[in-house]
Amino acid sequence: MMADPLLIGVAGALAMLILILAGMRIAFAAGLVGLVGLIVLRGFDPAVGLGGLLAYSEVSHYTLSVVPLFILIGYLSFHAGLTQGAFDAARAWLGRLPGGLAVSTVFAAAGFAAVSGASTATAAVFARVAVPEMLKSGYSQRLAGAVVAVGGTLAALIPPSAILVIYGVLVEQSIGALLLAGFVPGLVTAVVYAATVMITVKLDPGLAQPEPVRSFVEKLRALKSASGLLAVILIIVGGLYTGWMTPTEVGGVGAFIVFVMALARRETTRRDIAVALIDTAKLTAMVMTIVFCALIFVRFLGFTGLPPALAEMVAGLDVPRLYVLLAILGVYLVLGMFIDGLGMLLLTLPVVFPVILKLGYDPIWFGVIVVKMIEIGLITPPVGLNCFVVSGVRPDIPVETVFRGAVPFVIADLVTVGVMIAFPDIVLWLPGQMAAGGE
Amino acid sequence: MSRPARLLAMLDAALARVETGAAMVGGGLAVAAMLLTMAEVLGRRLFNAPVPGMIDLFDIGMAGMALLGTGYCQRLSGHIRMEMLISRLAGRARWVLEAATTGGAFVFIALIFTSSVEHAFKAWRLHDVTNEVLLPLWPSRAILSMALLLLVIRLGLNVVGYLRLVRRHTATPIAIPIPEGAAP
Repeated sequence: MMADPLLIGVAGALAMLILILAGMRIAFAAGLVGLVGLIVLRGFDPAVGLGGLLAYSEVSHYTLSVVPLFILIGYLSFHAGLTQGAFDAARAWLGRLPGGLAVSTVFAAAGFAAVSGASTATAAVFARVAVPEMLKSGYSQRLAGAVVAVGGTLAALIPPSAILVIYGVLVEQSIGALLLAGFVPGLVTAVVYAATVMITVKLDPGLAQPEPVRSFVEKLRALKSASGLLAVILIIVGGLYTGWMTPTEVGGVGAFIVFVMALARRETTRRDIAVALIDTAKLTAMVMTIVFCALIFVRFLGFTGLPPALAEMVAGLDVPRLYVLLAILGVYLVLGMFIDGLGMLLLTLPVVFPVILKLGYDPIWFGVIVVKMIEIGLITPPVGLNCFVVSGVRPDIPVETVFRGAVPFVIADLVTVGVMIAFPDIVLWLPGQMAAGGE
Repeated sequence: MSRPARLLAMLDAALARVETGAAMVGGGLAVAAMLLTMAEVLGRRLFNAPVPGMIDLFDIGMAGMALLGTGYCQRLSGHIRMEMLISRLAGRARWVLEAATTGGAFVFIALIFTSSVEHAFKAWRLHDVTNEVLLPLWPSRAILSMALLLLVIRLGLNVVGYLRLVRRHTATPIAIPIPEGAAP
């Protein structure tokens, strides 16, 4: 006699959690449990056959081709001088504000985020570009380290965002709409971060020193150094917004421009390009391995009937839906402290997403909220990856110092999430305006 | 270094070379995709002449682009995991746990690999083709199998590397995943 499929589903979810806690790589933990579960439910041959089928079919979608292209842009843009250009321009225009260099870092990171989809990569790049400048100008390590770590999180919201693409694939939502939906919340977050910098510096002026005055000509010249970046941003956001290009085409054209810019710079060596290509293949493989393994697990959960049963149960609870949402976000906040964002998405979405739909929340909006929660996880202890990255690039700044510096930004982030829950149009307005035909 | 350890190190280095080559091909495919989309956008939007079979080419190329770097990624410990608990363990206990979880991964990927080979043969026998311009699908499935094969061998070497440390936990680690620096 076979056990209740629901029970098998619960056992599978628990087994995966235990394997992940034991240090098994998240992709393999999900895939192994999914495959064993399918074998239990469907028999050996059909299960293994299905596994091999999913490994091919789930990674060979045209839709997913945006992922390597966005990653390629991220790795090439450092060599194209886009980061330095963005920082110089932001510094010339915003340097005079209280904590001006830190504010500049936030906006330069926001600009860079518009060509890069990976949060930790952005933090690593700015730890090299912006931290030395801030420390030279007498900024405290705490502010300089923290602002780079939190600035990196903007990359996951402002399009192109790799993690929003993965969300879209896991829950089958429009990638174009998701990418656009992150744009306004990303800008809002950048402004909130800048305000947080200015307030902390006003409260504790010892954290930062003022910048010298720049002439208008100097400002214009600095703007020129950011022109390449502006061109790529225009293509990505414009292409998505008008529906003139598919997300993949936006990625391809953006990558092409950055590629040409990188080749045009004399400092770029053939080796740099080769390393960028290999790194692209590595990060793409990391993401795609998770994608197909996660989908094997999702298929297994589907056969158990656990997700809809859970959604039914939660929907039947006699509490306002906002409480359920807050409880889910609370779980994300705690999980985010311990688990990497991609792992978190894959662990939770198969069960949480049906609940969210059942409660009547918008799937695009929820994607942006979840990504925001994931990003908070990147700047909170004990495993806030962005803070470790900053401290990894700058071993003179202890990771505890970065975490301490990030506290005001975490509070600001939680307020931002609250505002997005109260006013969902912040997220949904732009994709709602999107021209028809955008994928 | 003992003879088996030397052999393990040699296999590790040889496989590393193949993995790096495969990753390079994967990255090269991404550049090809970039050029193809550029051609498509220019052709379709400016001259109203789309690249024929564009989506088909992506269907064919994606598997390689997506997974040719997966073995390379495992060698450099790039597949994410939670290290919070395992990093607190030291010595033999840690190596036992690593060997067990990596062994599980090995079994899983080995099964997926065998199944993917069967699917590749089936596509070849049945002359499976893409939708628009009827390109044969088996090469793309075969590339996926090769990528998985590299990962299986890598995971196998990792298991051997860990088991070696279980036996002699003070030995210098060989053939286990070593993360790169925090470089972007």
